[in-house]
Amino acid sequence: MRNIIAFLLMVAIGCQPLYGRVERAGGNNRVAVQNHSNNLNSNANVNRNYNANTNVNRNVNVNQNVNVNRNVNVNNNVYVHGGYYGGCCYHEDNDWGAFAAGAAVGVATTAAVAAATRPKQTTVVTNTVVVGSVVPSLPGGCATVANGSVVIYNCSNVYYKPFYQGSTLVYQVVTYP
Amino acid sequence: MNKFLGILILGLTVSRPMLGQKNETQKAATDVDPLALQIVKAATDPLKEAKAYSFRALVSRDLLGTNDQIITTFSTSQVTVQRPNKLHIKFRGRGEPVELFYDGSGKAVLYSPSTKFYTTLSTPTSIDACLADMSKKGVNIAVRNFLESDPYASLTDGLTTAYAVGKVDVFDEKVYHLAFTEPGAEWQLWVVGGDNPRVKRLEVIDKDKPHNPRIAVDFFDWDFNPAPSEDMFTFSKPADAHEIEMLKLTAER
Repeated sequence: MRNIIAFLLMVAIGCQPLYGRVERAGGNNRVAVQNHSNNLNSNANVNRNYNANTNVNRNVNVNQNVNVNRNVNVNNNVYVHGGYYGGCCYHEDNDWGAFAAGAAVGVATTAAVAAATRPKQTTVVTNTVVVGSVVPSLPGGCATVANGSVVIYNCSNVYYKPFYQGSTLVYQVVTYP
Repeated sequence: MNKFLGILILGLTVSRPMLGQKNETQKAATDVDPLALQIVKAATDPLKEAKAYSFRALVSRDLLGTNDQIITTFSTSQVTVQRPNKLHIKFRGRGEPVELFYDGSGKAVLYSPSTKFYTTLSTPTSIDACLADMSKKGVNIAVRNFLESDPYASLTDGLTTAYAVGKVDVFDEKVYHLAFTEPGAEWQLWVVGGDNPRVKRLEVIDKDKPHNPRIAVDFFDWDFNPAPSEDMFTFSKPADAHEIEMLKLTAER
């Protein structure tokens, strides 16, 4: 026992760090960074395949562009795949408003056309939000799900639970309660 | 006895490189300009001596993106301190505004008024220990040094170097520019002089992390004579408020 104490004492004395005191802690949470425009292109390809099955659409090239625009929003959900980094990352508000591709031009017209030709994959992509991902705010249209004393939100079948992460209120994607 | 000595020698052998590092650090620590310390003391002693004080801080903090590049985030903090151990901070940054209540009773509460979610942290009753404890729980307050019981000691303990760079203009205001290093970090301070010295800006570079992230704080609206009400520091739970948990921490520094 005395030997162990002597050894520990020596190591402790030698290893004592000389840390400074200025505050610099920031945690290890990473910010998800991704090229949104690359996703746009990949979805455009998907749309082409969809249109190829309907000869009528081949004659209406405008539709292809409309679909691309819609998929920008869908991609923001895919973006949550940042969870591949181990659920460590938070994701900022991805509402790009007028800067979203095509958002400022012909919205009323293209939206109507897009509704008729909306790709089937939209729902599928939305459901791929990774459990464990963290966002600072909820998407729109969420409903509260009763689960005892725990508050959970259902946002288009993606479930979010509020937590504090440091001094920030965040919402983590969770499995269906 | 021989065995005891053997273990002792082994222990010293293991720890020797660390002792060497410490000595080197101590040698380097001699380059401290007393003028720089004098200016820090003039600006921070009012915080130690005031019964209460308040200020507003604009904080920019570098985080790493998932592609390893620096991503800068912004927040503001409206801070009120009452000595010896009461603290209230209104945070505005990502997401909803959040308030921190700490009344020295052994707990701190984070509360979001807009959502009425709160969480309770069990903390020590001294403000220094409370701030250290909250930091371990992931509540990192960029202005922490300026909230501790002795801000001067908090900032200057363990310095490697301290220099007074000079008197410079920062956005049309004359300030003293100071530069410091310490193990793992370098930082700068800009201090307004005159009859009421006060800290204007702080910049800290973390040398221990990849890409050396930076925290910058601009200080505004120093008030060394506020009159905070007692209930400012104690959380009064609204009837419809919900308690939620802290998110489990990922590996911290």
